[in-house]
Amino acid sequence: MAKAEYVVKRLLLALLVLVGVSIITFVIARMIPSDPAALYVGPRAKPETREAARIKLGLDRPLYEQYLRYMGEVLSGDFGISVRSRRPIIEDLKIFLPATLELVFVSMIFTLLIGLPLGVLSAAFKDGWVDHFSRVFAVVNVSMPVFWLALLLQLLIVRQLGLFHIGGRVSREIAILHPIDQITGFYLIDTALAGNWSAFRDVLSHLILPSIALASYGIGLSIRMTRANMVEVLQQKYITAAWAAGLTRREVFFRQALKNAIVPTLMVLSLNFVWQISGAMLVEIVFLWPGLGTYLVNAILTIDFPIVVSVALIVTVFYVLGNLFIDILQAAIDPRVSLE
Amino acid sequence: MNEPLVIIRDLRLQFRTYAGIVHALNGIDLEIYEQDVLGLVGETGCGKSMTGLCILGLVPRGGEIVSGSIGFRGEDLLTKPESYMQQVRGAKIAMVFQDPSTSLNPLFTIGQQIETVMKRHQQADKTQMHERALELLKVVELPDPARIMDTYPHELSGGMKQRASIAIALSCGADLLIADEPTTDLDVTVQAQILDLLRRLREAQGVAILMITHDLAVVAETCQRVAVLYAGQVVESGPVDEVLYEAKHPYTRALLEASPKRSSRGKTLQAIPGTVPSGLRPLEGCAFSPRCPRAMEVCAQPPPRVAVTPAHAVYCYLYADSEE
Ligand SMILES: Nc1ncnc2c1ncn2[C@@H]1O[C@H](COP(=O)(O)OP(=O)(O)OP(=O)(O)O)[C@@H](O)[C@H]1O
Ligand SMILES: [Mg+2]
Repeated sequence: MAKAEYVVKRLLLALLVLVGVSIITFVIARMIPSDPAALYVGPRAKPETREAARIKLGLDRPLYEQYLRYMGEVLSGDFGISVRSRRPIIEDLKIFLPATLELVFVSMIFTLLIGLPLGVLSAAFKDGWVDHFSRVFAVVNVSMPVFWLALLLQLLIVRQLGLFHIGGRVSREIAILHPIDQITGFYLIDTALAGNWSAFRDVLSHLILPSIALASYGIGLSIRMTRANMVEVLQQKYITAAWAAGLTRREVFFRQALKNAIVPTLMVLSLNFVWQISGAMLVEIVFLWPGLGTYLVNAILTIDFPIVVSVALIVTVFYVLGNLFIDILQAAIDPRVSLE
Repeated sequence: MNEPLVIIRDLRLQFRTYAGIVHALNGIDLEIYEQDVLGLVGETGCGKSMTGLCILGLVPRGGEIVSGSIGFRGEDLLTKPESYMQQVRGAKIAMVFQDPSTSLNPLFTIGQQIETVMKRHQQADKTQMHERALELLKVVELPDPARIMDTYPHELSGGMKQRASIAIALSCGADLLIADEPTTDLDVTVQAQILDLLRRLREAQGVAILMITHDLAVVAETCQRVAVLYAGQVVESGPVDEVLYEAKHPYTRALLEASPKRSSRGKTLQAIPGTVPSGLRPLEGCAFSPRCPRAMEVCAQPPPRVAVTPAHAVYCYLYADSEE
């Protein structure tokens, strides 16, 4: 079948990209520091120690062997050791990656729930008051500095209204009274799995404000993208035909038309999603969120090379997965895609 | 003769544009009889499609019906709220469009598209609807209906797509089918098949058809009655035999001259001299008079309706005196 073939092709392509990227990160990790062994043992080590480290790190072996070894390490979760803290990087990633992913996922839900309907209604009632409102709302969202919005939310909603929390992933009392078993590192999932509902509620209410702050750009973006594509789709003959068949507004706008207009929005949101995995630093800092963005920026500032390379590798993997997801979704939405 | 299903009186449609008000329909008078095929002919831009869309209450953005009435089974559709019209569309009055490759939603299977419309207008469970959809595909003579149900529009040929569109339109047992140039974009042989299908559907399903076309041959082949439109007005209407073979209005005659069937071999087609009025100025007298070889001074006044025979009417001063 053409569709299965298409998916397999995309999978293979994604795999190829991943191998390419791993070669690049390998080269950066092993080649750019002029002598990784020297970096490993530190500046005041004896030459013998350095030589021993060369052999221990496999730097005396041929390049392809070094690469295979590197791949083996990465695949088994060994991303090396932080130059500064001497901690295995994987231990840090286990904390920061799920924290970031949870935040980014929840913010994506907000983006879709707010951005898509407003984009659709904006196009459906073009030049009406909904449209004017959404367009202004979209511009504000796209152009507002995210840290400023984060501070504003803290000030207005936490300080003034006393709702939600100023920062962190979980309240201290909850962490003590209802401790969270770390299984996946996603606190919503971990608490739900354990049936720890008071912790679940606490975690959720910690997620709301940072997710909204993080979602705002994507919301603005998806309103504009969806509106533009919907306006075009609504002029198509098959939409006139749908009206002529007596279909309701909801059916025409949110099913017949949106299905034809949604793919570009999803593409942009998927890119935005991947970007946020390492780019949400400003929101993370304001809300004291132990995220990957902050981790990366600290590593850059302290020139902790192995961390930078590891995060780059992870982000690239998500980028490839995001693209794969969009490709497959597009094929699922549009029967003509697999024919191209 | 049976009762009119649709009676349109003095239908006027205007568009607000940057260039000014466009007078698209200027007092259309029409009757469509039950189980009858009425042809609506005229040059491009004369308001054929707009007439069809007005009946469905689907005036495009910027357009406004400024006067008139559209009686359907004794109810004036123009006074009905949108919610009422949504129940009429697709269920009592359905429409088929010119280009089936753009009028079917590319992302839904034919089966899904039929069932979406059925679900909107009828109460039935899934299996019943599926059965009925299969039945419909058989009615429009699509081969292997079970397979067609699961195919997407791009997998079908033009003629098959148009058959599928007709199946969707007829899915809820409409009394009136508005067919807007249903064969214009199809191959000649397929054209004939689709026209043949529509003709048989009228008999089998008892559906009245408003056949919008600019092709007099189509009218001659499929219609019982015909209305000739010029610049948003009916200039002549009546039974096909009378209007096509004893055309009265100078415009109808010019149209017949210009139609390939009538022109003898070797002679180039006779184009009608002059151009259609832009619609930017309101019509005062007969819209055709600037192009009419037999125009008179009196044609600057609105033309009278003259009954040539009880069923055959012409709007022209040439025949006015025979009336008195
Ligand atoms: N959106 C619009 N804005 C302004 N005027 C319009 C608009 N749509 C239609 N009109 C006017 O309505 C008139 C009738 O258009 P209509 O589409 O009914 O013509 P038609 O007879 O169906 O022509 P064709 O054979 O090309 O399909 C046009 O001449 C045009 O002036
Ligand atoms: Mg038309």
